[in-house]
Amino acid sequence: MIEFRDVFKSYQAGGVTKWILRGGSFRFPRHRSIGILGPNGAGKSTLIRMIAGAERPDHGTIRRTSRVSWPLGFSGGITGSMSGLDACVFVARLYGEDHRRVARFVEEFSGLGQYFYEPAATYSSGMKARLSFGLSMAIDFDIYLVDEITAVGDARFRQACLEAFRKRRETADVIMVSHSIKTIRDYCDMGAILSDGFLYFYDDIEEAIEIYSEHILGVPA
Amino acid sequence: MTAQIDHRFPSYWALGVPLSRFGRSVWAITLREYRVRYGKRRLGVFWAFAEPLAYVVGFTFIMSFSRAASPLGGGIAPFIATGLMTYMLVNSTESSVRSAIRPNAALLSFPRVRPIDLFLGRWLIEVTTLLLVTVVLFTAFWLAGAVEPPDEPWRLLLPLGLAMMAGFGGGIVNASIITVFKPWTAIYPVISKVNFLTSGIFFTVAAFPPTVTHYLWWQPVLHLTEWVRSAYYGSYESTFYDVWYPATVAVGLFFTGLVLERVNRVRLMNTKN
Repeated sequence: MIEFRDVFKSYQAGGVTKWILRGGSFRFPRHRSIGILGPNGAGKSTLIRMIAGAERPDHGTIRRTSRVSWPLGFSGGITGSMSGLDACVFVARLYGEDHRRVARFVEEFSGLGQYFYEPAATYSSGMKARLSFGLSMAIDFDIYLVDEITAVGDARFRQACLEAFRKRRETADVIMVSHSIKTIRDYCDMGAILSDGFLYFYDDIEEAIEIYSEHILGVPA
Repeated sequence: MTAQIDHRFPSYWALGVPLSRFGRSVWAITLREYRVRYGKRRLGVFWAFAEPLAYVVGFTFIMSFSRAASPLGGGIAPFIATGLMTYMLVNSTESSVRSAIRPNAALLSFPRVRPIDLFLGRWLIEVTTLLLVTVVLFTAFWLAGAVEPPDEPWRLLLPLGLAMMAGFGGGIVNASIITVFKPWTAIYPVISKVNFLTSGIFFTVAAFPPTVTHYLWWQPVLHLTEWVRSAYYGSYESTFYDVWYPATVAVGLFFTGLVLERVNRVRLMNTKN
């Protein structure tokens, strides 16, 4: 479970204070896949990073009792001196999983070949993303965070990603941010709109999309 | 249908889960650091012996010209080593903990990894390595007939433990100072040199007149070396050292470090010096 208690977060842009959350207290329900909608600059990515724990609120607390992934496709945690294998061993230990199983899965999934044993400094950004994606699929997360599904690799790899992610979603929830209403519709059954410092939940994703389109985008869905 | 909001907060987990996560994170970091430090070089852990050995051999060589024997009996090398290892438990630990963040900054983007985990990982590596080096070194001295085994081994535990605490706290305190006052990176090495020269590696306090020892009293590491030597050498009992002064400094540094890690966490996580 993820619970926000009295969370405030803002940032300065051109001398103006932009609010992402002004005192938000809510829980993300389990066993639902939630799509977060919101206009550009509302702070959707920051919200995802706060859920992940990569960014701290200015005030208030965020509690996680579920295993929450890092935002999918994010590979910033892998240092240049680590090989793919090192990264697997480190992350597996961090989450208390069997590092041999994790390494076997990621080595096969990422298709890095010999590079799996080389320092990540020698990787292209695509290779890093494949490693990171494979890692997040190998760890048994309760909730996957997605900040825009970005495609990496060739068509075959993309297919493998979607397949792995589909399998994961049978047991895990998703909290997703996307500009594409189609993607949100494909993955989510519940919606939330982040606007002007407040997060509104909608039990039905279609209702959320409708309200978002009419009131915020100004075009009927 | 309404959203199925899970209202049952698993309170019995509230302490256990963070604790086991903390433990896992520290463990993952520690093993990672061991690998970075010793796993990738050919001679691995041998290099841990290089620095203390260089000091002991170098200064033994120099001092064997100026002074015939150790002031406390036995070889000059073990005399230096008792002081040096005490000093290194403070100083090497401090510098290792201080520089924990920068090479591992990327790991902090895993939400489970916090600066304290990096500090603790470095601390564990440093103290286990130094203790191993100390044991091997003194076993070698003993086999070579240069020194007897420690006279009161249990009396070594407290001063060595305080040295490790001071190194841990001092490292975090310095890392925190650097986040708000960059010139500290240039100022601290000067303090560190003074600390090196006055910590009693090369002398016992008895060698100085009271006017000098009056000022030396304020050097906490010197208290620890005198304490360690009083415990190690059966024939020596220093009247100089105080238990409470170095203990207060070490415990004070330790807790100041823990508090600073909490209040300064965001700045520490952005360390890019």
